[in-house]
Amino acid sequence: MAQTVIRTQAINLTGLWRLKILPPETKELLDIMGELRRTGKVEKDEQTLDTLDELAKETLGILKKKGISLTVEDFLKERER
Amino acid sequence: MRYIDSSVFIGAFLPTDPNHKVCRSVIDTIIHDRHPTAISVFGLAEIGDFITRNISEKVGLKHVTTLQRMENLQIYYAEDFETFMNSVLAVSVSTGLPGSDAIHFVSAISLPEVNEIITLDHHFKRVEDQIKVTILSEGGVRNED
Repeated sequence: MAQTVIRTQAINLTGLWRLKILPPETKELLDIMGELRRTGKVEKDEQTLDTLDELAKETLGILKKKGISLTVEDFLKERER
Repeated sequence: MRYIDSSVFIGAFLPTDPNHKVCRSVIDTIIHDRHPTAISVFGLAEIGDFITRNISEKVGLKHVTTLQRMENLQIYYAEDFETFMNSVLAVSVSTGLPGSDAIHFVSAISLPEVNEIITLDHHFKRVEDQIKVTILSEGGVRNED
């Protein structure tokens, strides 16, 4: 009877980096994930709400430029597919 | 502790969404009132992919790193992927919950402290007999239990 299950180690972040699947812009994300993996914690940002306000402005600008109005409904439709 | 579905964070990030205010108020409450909450690493992936694809990579990355550094938000990682995914498969088949929603549900019930899922996704009504499900709407919240 043929083997049905394949078990293997998942590729890790170093492997993804070496394969150039991850661009240099992801460095902060990788650093945080590395820190979370090593210590289980990461330095918290006390200015999260200000950062979100800035991101909301930037997001609105990009959406206007693209001429689209993105909503959670779009996300939920994609997730359901 | 409350488990926050990705849809709530996406609503909070999108100023064009009709539920933006109510979603943003959830985020404000988590930070100001020090409500301990959880999201899964899969949720971060969903948020990151949607924002990167529809807005920009830079904004997608910034949203995800902001959540990783957000006060009172804990990120759930499953220790045993095989066990986790077997549970996701069993839940999907037995409840009809879409696979990605089942990942969130299994994440939530794997954490003993979690007693409520906050979401904008009505599919979670399928598991409201298992856990308190709060579906946010433009006018506020609608408890499903």
